[in-house]
Amino acid sequence: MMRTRPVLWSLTATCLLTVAAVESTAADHPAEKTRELIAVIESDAPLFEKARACQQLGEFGTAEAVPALASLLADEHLNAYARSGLEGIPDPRAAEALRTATSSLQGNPLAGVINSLGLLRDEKAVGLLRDFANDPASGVAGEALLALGRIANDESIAVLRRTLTQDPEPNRADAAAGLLLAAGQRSAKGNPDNAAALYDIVRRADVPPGLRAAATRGAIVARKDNGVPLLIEQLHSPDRRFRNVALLTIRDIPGDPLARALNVEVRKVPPEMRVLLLTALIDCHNAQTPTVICDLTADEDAEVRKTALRVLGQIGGAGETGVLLEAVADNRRPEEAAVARESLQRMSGAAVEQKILWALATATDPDARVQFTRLLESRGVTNAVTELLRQAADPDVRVSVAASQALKSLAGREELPALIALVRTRQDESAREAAENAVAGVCRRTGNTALGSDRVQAELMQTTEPGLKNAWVRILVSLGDAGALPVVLAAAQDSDEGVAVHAIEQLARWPDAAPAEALAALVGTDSSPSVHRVALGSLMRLATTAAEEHQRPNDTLVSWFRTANQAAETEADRRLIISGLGRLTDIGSFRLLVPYLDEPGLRNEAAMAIVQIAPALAPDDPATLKEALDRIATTAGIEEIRAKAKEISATIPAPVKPTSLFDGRSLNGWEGNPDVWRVRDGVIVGGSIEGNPRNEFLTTTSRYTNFVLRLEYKLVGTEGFVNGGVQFHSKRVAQPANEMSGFQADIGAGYSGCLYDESRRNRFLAQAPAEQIQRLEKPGDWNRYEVRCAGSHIRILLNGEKTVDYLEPDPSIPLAGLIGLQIHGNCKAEISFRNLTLGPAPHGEARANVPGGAAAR
Amino acid sequence: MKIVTRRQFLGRTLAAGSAVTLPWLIPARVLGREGAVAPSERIVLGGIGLGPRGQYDLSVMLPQKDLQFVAICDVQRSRREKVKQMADAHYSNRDCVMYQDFFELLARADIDAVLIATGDHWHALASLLAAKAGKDVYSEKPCGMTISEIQSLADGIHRYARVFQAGTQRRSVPNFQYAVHLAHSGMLGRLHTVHASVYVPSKNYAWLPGEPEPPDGECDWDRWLGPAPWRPYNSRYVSGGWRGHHDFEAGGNFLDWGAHTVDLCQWANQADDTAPLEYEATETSIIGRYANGVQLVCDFLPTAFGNRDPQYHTSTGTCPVRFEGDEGWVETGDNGQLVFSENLAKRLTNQFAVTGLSSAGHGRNFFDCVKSRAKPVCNQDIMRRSHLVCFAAQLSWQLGRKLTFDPVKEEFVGDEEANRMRRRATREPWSFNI
Repeated sequence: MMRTRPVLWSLTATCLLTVAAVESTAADHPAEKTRELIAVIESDAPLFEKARACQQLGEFGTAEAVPALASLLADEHLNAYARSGLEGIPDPRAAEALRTATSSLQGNPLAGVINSLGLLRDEKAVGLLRDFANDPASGVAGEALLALGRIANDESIAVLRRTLTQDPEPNRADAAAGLLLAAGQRSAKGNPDNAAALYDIVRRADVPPGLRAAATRGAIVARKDNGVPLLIEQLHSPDRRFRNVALLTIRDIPGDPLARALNVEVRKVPPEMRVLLLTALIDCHNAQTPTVICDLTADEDAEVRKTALRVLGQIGGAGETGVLLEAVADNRRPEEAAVARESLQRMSGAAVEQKILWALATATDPDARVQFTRLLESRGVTNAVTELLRQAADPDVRVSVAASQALKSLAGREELPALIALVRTRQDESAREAAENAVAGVCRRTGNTALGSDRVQAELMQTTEPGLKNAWVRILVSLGDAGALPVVLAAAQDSDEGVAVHAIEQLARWPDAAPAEALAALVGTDSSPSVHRVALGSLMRLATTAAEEHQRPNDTLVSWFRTANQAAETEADRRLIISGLGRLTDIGSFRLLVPYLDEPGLRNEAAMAIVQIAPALAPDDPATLKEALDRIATTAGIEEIRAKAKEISATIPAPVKPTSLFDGRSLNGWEGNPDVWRVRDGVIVGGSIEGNPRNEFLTTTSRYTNFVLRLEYKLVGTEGFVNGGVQFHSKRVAQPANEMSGFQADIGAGYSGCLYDESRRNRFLAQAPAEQIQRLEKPGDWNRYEVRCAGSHIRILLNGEKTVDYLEPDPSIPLAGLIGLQIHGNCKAEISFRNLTLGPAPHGEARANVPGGAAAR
Repeated sequence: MKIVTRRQFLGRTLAAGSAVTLPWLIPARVLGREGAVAPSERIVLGGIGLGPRGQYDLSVMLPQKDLQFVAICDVQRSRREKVKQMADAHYSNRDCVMYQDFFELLARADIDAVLIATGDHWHALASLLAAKAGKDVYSEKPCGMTISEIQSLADGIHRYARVFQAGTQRRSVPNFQYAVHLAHSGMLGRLHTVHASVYVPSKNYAWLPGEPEPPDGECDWDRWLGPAPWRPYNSRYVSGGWRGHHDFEAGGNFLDWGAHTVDLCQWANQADDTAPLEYEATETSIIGRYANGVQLVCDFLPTAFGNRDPQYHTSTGTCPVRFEGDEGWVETGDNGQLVFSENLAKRLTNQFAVTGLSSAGHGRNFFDCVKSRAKPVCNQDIMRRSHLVCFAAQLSWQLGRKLTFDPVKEEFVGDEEANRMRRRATREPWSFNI
């Protein structure tokens, strides 16, 4: 084959932009479009546009385009595009143009044209193709021979047959491949006899064995049932290629004649082929085949036996079950037993199930019974439960365990009493445990947890034997029915300490945190060391899950951990506590963890736990949190934790120091209507004694959250609604632009010291008693105001005394925003502010345990 | 860094302990060989064009004990070397031979089979040339660029008596098998709609700006192009950027997912020997209609990984399919999760989750068939129909009109333009006359 190495990178990015204007899929006007595309080809358009035009002409172009397309055949880059056009146009002139081009082309473009003539099955090209095939110098003899094969008329086939016998080897191989193409063509056209004859010629020719093998497959398939003898002959070939052809072809002509032959042959061939033929029987078999395969399950060769057992699973019926069951029960050959078991699982039908059940009922060997039981389980044979209950009572522990396991997935509610009795009567641990699992499993699967729980409670109350008590407790905890909790808690206080410890241990698996309080009580009291240890462990397990799933308010969870923390005696206890605290995102949890940063054995665990909860805690107590994280970032023993701590710490702003919001000279950091707000004598003054037409606000340019705002105000007025206020967590509203919405610490007779919701809920959220305000406020003079915001917790202090203490319950209310100063409209009044400072929020007051606490971020 | 929660821990143990037997599965001789042939008989495998996907395929094949990977051909030096490294590291030797010309690899008599994972435009021809050289073929999908290439490929595999597996591995992945089992077993009632997710198709014929061709030995651009029509070299093409270009990516990328999802729909509808008769594109999908009345809906997914409500559950991963019957539906995708309609979930006793994606089982099925000469689960005939459905659907979208297809003659009824679009010329000297 020829290689070209074009260097044509002068084509530039313009290619990307020049998707031809004629690009269209639906050619509504093919003639017109064709002419447009011809014009592109004949123009100086970039190569890309010409290439694309050729492709489109192939899709809908008319014969008019043939000359233009043919003119591109000599172009080394556009040859294939041009042929796409010509191959597409269903007009004899296209093929004619291709034939004509062969006289002037050579090399790859010539090969391309010959390939196209073959694909078009151009019978008029046979003569010229024959000439190319006969001319060793043409360089395209192979292409020509294959094209002749594709054309597949008598004339082209004659050329190929002659080449096959007379030409040198390379041509013979191409002629053979051509004949294979031709034979396939004949076969598809409904002439299998002719095809078979052609295949025979190739398989007997002096050509490479791969081609002869391919021809042999063709010869068999074309003859269908009459090809069976030829197929069988190949099975015995010394050449693996031909044996493989036989095996593959079995899948092409399955049917009774072939199946009959294979049933005979499978016994005659050597073991390796016998294995392969057995597998092939899956794809081609008749009614006699299973019997043949049954015989082969006793073959001398182990691989043959295994394969026979496997194949029976796919094509066998109830009649073959016996052979498989025997193999399953034969513990001398475990591999074969495994295959047989898999086969039995695969076979469908109630008859198969009856046979397995019968085998179980009559077998004596325990191993066999275990196997049969597992089969019934995996097949889901529900009518086996009576027999399985009998097996579960068997003295052999393995048999009993297997039967209980099967009953767990097969038994129904009706079998519950029998299963409970099984728990009661089985003495050995594993059999009893399997029975327990069966009781719990059946109750859950059949939706009878409450019923089962009641029955088992009754058993627990009647029994005195410690081992049995433990069994009932285990079942009750597995079922987790709320009604059983008191009984289990009673067991946790059993006079037998073994029973008590076991029950406490089991309570760790309880599905919710209900036993936690009782466990916390046990942890806190002077119980024995083992009770104490186990109760602490169980409490931590429940508390940890409760924290992860937010089953209880944080306060409650923290109190459990605190109890455990106080009672913890060993490092293992503390490790458990730390692990749980790492899932409880609460400042209380953080506080319990911090001291552990000083304990060498627990430092890393504590650091990891803090790092885990820290991101969600950041706004609550930034200073302490940042300090702890910075410490972890430098001292933790694990690189990953140090890096993480550093990363989180970087997100927490440095603690807010009390800062002045007002510089005493200008309104820097504030914005508002300059006609209304000004600085006079080191004081911010808003409004006018001449009259205020509407509400006006002076707001900070920054937003704030979690702070203590301190300021002094003086309100002087003569007429109208003399009022002002201090906004916080607020924003400007778009309409009307002079308004703000958000919280307001109100100022004005009857309202000072109160918390109002401005332009939002439009009501007082909290009001101070009138007599308190009267006592505290100095009207017309300077008064001290303090607004403390910590998350959803808002407090207002007037002249040093608290007037409002409010928890915001609505999580959708923003707890951050602008601070603003108000002078009310419809009054003649002037309001003054001074000494405005902002300090950090008081520690530990941020996260009140109310909804909305989390919204403080 | 994440502390494993207790619940996660319990969740895992539970999954491990609750193995259910799945008797409906295709023979699961997945791990290591069993039966069939004597252990001394190994399958000798070579690779052709193994980029990232091919290297993944190879990585899951290498552990097979009866396999020996001995040779890699790639027109790009970096890829040849990467694959050689992989193989040599696996076998702790230096035996993997590198070729730039795949004819040299195919000429090796010791090689039984090849793994082909070139770009789409080489799949059919490389598979066919390998078959002619007497090799069995595992080819990545899509297996050809046009209807005509697919026909030539499937016919040629038969003609040369080879075993062929298309890399539509979901037929060997348990969650997909289970979903299909539900459709076949009647658990969904009468099947009425099968949904295949696909990318929004594209039509991009533009060429990237030309760049100087790389030196011989680094990347053989002429061989990289192979049967695809010529265009100037650009380094983006050879590093995966061929995707999205109509001349290189089958069906304007419809087949990237369609080869999988449509194939699963064909299977679910027990239509492996036929195809929908009618195809029509809408804004959001291409809808096909089977002779048995079942609708095939190829839903355009704007993003492969993002939110895909309301068509599919986001949670099922990439390449989701949904089968709907009058008594329930099931949806599944590459993360292995199965989502059931409520009425179906109530009736199911085995609700299991497995991980999809791995093509290990699919490779194993191929290797078993290389030995037994049985037909792999995605053999050339199954592949032929699934791919033809994809091309027919994509053409109806591209032409913007309803198409009627004759699944026996494999031609469109009364639409010459569509029929002409079933093929394109092969760049010289390459040819499908093989």
